[in-house]
Amino acid sequence: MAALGSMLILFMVLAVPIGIALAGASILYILYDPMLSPATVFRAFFSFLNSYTLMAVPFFIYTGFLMEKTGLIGKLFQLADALIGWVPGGFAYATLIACVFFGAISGSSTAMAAAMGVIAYPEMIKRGYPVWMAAGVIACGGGIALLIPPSIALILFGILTEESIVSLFFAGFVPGLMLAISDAVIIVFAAWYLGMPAGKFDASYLLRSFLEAGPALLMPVIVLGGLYGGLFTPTEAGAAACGYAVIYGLIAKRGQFVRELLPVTFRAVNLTSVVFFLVGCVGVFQFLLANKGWPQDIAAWVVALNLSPMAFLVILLLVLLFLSMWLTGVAILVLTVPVFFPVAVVLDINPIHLGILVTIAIEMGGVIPPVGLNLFAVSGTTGVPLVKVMQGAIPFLITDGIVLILVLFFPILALIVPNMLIKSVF
Amino acid sequence: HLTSMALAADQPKKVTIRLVSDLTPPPHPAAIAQVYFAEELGKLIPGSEVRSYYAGALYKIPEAVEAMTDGNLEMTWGQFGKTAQIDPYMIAVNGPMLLTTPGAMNQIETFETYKFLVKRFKDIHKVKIFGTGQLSMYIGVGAQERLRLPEDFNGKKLRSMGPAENVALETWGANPVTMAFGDVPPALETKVIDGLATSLGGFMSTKDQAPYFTIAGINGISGDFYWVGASLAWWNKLNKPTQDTIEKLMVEKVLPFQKQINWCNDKRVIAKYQTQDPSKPGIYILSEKEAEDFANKLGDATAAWIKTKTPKDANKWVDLFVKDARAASKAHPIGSDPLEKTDCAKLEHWFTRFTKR
Amino acid sequence: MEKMLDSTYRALRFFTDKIVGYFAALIMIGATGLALAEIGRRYILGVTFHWGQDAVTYFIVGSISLFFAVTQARRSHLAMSVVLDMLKSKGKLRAAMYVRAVVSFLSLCFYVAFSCWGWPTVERAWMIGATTQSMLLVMWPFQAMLLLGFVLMALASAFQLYQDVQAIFGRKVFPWAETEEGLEI
Ligand code: NA
Ligand code: NA
Repeated sequence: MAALGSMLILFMVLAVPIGIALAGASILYILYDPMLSPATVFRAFFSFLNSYTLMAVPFFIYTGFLMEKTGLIGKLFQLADALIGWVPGGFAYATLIACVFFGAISGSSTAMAAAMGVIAYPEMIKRGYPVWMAAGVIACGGGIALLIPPSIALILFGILTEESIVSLFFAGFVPGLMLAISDAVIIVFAAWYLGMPAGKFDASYLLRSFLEAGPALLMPVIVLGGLYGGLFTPTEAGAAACGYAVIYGLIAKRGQFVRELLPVTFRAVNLTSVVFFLVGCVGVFQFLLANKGWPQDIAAWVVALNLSPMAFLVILLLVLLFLSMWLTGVAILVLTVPVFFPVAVVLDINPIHLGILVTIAIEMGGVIPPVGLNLFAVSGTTGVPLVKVMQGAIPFLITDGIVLILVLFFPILALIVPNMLIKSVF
Repeated sequence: HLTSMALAADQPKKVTIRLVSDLTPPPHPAAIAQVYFAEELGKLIPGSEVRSYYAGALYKIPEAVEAMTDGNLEMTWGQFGKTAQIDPYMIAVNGPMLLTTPGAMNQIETFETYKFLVKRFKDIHKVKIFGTGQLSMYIGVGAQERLRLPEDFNGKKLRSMGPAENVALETWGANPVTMAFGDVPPALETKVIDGLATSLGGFMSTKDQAPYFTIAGINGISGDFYWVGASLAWWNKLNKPTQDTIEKLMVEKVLPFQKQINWCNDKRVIAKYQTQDPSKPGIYILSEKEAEDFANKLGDATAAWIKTKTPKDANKWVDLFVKDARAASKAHPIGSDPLEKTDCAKLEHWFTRFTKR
Repeated sequence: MEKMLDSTYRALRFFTDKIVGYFAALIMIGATGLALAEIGRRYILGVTFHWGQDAVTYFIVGSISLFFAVTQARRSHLAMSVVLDMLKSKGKLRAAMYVRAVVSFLSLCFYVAFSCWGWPTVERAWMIGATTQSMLLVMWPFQAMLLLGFVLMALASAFQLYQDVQAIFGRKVFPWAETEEGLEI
């Protein structure tokens, strides 16, 4: 374990591309391990990429570019600016609100971080926000998508535990909003500390922006409406969003849009490629960890401690945060839930509450280095160096931690909505 | 010194087994059987370890077979249907409304088709198959209203379990839809789809969105079975006593246990949710007469489709399986198999261990 | 010799940046169209293609895999550049050049090894006729796209290694191909 870790860090420090550092260190380890032969690594890479749910990433990156090119995003952000831009740090709040909206469309934290990197980051920089803050709020804001339904993490948790996915979805609402608010708190402080200027509220600017943004405002309405109204599934939402952006572009810009379509697609594919190469390499790295059984052993260690329910939860969450330094959320779920969930059941821990806690931990893990897919996605789409994104994410990560602690001690925060809304047929 | 070495060679040696399946963790009955395997093996060969990977955590089933071929994985617990992706012959042992009694299911291993596939798996994929297990016998269709007659299927968008089930659903008049299982509960909630073909476990996770669950007898909606196999690249490196210990445990204890625990799981879920009144939500088991309507409408559609997916020389094996399966169902009627007399109370502790609330 | 290398690299870059790049972009447009068409068909007609999701997934993954080569050729795979930046800011350009050459060398080894291990995988998938879940698409062409992506990355990084080593000796080759910012001689 230590050998693998130090090799990985050495490679990374040498500025070896992160994907190569991860997969290369794994391969060197595999070469020395009699249980494994490197013949498998190609397949591990390939099959890790082949999931329909992962296609949300290219679709949302593509949506981001299409929205930018058609001017749709500019108008939305202009409206946000008119609404809230006059508050110090106001535009960052607008980004957070966008994260909540997109979170209601996307089930993937990485897809959302990537999309926000494309659409919100340049707008924030244009308005003079510091790079760390713009990158950090997007990297962490992406995680909100995992709590606001739909959510890949909650779906998977539901499947692995035979708990109701719909209950889990409802349970994510309040904690998801809390995460958004916790990030807003950081912005309040940063705006005050950096002495960001307050503008003046301008009613006529607001009215004008609102009228101009009309068709753009239909985008969230139609995509959300389609998702909750039975037109498409969470994994199809990304394609639906692309479709809206294309139709909007064809109406708004006609021939010019057709000419721009291929170059825009080229850029979207380019960024997806940066993210997917990393994802495939992370697949190889995780494949090694899973084969060695380390994540399971660590989870089994927690189980063997024979703790009280609360102590169990605390240690479990700490361990999940540690694992999230090395694994993606999906891997953490499939490898460790089967080990710890039966024990949680015996300890009488509410499974829906547990699912939300685990998801918040996974959400935080997306921005914890060295393996943090949201960090990769934001750095890849914005061009901001990884270290800078990490630094920017730290304050937001800390408040996310506070939300985790609150939900841990007050299960009602997770359970209130499902308790109110779900009436079992049986 | 020589004698002690000879003695050591006669002893089983401890093993580490990575065991891959794509089912969910316990309380899934097949997953409980894997826990049982791990615990019993630990008793027989102290220090041995069975690492179970559920829900495709390490490989999906087709990749698991290839990893076993390469010697990168020890064992797999996989469905015949899912294996068809890398070997189309494997769906020959598939198709609904064929093995319609527990006694008939227990005959699979005597079928020539099965023996042929075992040999094929050994020769082509370097995989040793120990035997078969079963999915829940009661695959059914859940929906927001009761689907009781073939006509009720007309135009319904139903999430299918795989390509073979598509054919059956289509023949009954439904429009099969492919989507990830995770998308199913929200899709039911928002009415993207009307229902789904699924196991009792799947019914449990969707029962609030699709409370009307209909079962067309044993293996009525789908007939897919597990095979349990090991990588020969690994197996051949074990000494004889180790091989014997593992094989004996698997064949004589684990696989029978898997069938029993699955049977009892079916019983307890049905006992809890069965309804005699089809207009009420819950699990409704079609009468023999009602199930016959479905069987008649289905005819040989699945077998015919399987033939289009398999090489020409597999056709005879498909036909042979259909013939043997129908004969076995006649020869071993309901109630004739010892499995049906399993004392489920004795196994109850396995369920409480994983589902205590 | 120099001239031949230059024109070979130009040909390679034309193939990756233009042909592979736009091919991948066209597939992306097609896959998005198919995903949308499937939503429409299911909603309006109540039917879908059994292979719809499979096709969307595998075509996107296949085309992105090919595009990896473009990303490598442009040196835009993500890396932690802290040490390089530090060396540069302290004026230790030569040390930075050595580091860059080592990275190119390691990348080359990695891509070559991956390509070698990938070949038998693709070959076996072809031989046993492996298919995707719907059993309608054959698997090996998509694996072959990933393999080709790795081979192209190996070729690109070989030229980059040559470029980086020449730079250490103060010679500038392939001046038209971008290197990392600030390390130019
Ligand atoms: Na979401
Ligand atoms: Na992480």
